Amino acid sequence: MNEEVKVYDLTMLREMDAEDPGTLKHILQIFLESIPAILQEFMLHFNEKDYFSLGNAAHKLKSSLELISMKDTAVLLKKIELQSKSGQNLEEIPQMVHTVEQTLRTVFEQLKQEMD
Amino acid sequence: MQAIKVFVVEDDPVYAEVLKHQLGLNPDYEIETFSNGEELLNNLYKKPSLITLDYTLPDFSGMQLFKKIKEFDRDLPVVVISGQEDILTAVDLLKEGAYDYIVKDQDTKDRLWNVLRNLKEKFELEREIVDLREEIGKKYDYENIIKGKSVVIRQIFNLIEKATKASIAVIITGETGTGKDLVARAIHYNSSRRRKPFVAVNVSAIPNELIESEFFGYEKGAFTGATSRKIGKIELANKGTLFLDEVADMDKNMQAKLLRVLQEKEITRIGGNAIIKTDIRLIVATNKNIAHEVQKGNFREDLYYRLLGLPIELPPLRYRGNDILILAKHFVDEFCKENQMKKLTITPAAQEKLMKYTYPGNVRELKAIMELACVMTSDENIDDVDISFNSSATQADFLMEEDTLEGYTKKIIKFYLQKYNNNVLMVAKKLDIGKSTIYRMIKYKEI
Repeated sequence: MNEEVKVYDLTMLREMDAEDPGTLKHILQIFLESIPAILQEFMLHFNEKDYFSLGNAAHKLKSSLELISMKDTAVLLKKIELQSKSGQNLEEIPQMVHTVEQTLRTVFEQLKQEMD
Repeated sequence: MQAIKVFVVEDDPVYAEVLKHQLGLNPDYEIETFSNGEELLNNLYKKPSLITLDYTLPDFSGMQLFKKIKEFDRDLPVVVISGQEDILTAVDLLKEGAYDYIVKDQDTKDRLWNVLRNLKEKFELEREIVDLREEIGKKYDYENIIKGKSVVIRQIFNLIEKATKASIAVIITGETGTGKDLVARAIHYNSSRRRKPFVAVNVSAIPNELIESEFFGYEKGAFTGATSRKIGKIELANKGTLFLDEVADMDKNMQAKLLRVLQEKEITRIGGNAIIKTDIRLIVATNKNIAHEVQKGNFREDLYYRLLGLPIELPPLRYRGNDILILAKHFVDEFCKENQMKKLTITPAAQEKLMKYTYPGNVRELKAIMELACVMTSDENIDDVDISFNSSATQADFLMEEDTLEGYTKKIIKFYLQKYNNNVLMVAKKLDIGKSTIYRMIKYKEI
């Protein structure tokens, strides 16, 4: 896949890797082990319309995505968190959830390639 | 230095790993991560130096967990790390005693490092304070600071030792210059409170209009000029010792307030509402007879009874016999050492001259006399000519009061007996009278 279409940026993790080689690989490994599971949880709460738990899962995903500079997705997750917990504009949630899911699935694939 | 143990509480495994990595770059920090509140609470017994706490956790809200940590250890620093820039939550947490509030962003690492650097400095300062207190404790080993071997001073050592064993109030009396402050410090630094503050206040040196704010402290804006919060002496002495010198000179309004503090064990800063619990050991000193001050209406009777704990009456130097020479030698040695001078010897003539003087200024005066003698001497001996007294104080103080000849005789014999540790033979020889005369006077309680 082309470098320009990547929605993440590993600069921060690369800086950490420069300080302590092996860190980038180690963190990405943890990312790929844990984030798909949280995404699965997130999708489950969405399908069950358990909005409070959906908000919590969105919150949990957000900080990890900020670490790889997925700012737009993090903003989307913040909106999902707020709207799910407040019950406002719930009709906007499916589209946002769908975007998050698609983006993350692409990112998982791209990161796997980085690892190789 | 021991590693700083940092507990990271973070349910996001990636973020937890990043924090662990960033903090672990400093070898001074030992990091342990926990993914939920329950896990953290089960490990608090390991006594971390700092906890970084994610505000949103699966099993506890940030505030709930924060309060539980504080219940476990009120002084344990907790830095809350949150994904949200929620000023109100941050203010609430800081009010509740959070050490800091950091928002998760690209600057988190630098902020956290700053917090840890400050904390490390704080730990080092605390360690230094403990070491210094230990040093001061050694310095105030009472047999090191109160020189002397006379019977009266050995009785004082005995009383100091008793005073160190319990937090009983102590009232130290004695003429000016007898070392009341030193005795108070010796008691504190040899007691179980030695690691806590010793706060000394000379009551007569504080103007009446300032005494309340000095004792109780004040909040910012409590009155014109109160530009910042001030912690009062009572609060500063919490868990330690408050030493009130010249307590008999305390203003009567302040006496009433002090009595209330002693009874209720709590204070409120001027202009504040918060009640602050206090645990102080009180030692007071005076050169006045407080019982007489009570009779004259200058001192509250109820406070007098509160202060009446263990009385320690320091003897005037003139009643300490040979201690005069021990102290004189000590002051000469100390002065020579401080001023890089050769060791000086006190000649027998000088010793005799020192023993004959009455020292109205007590130990403080002897110190000044010996320091001057060290400067005046032109060789390695301090001779009688090098010693000069304040001429107005060369006669014994009992001659100041009018009496009959018989009365004077009794006073003189009593004075010599105290000076020579009740050694009748010595006194008889010094005064050139028969020892049976002295024994008779003792037998019939004439002296």
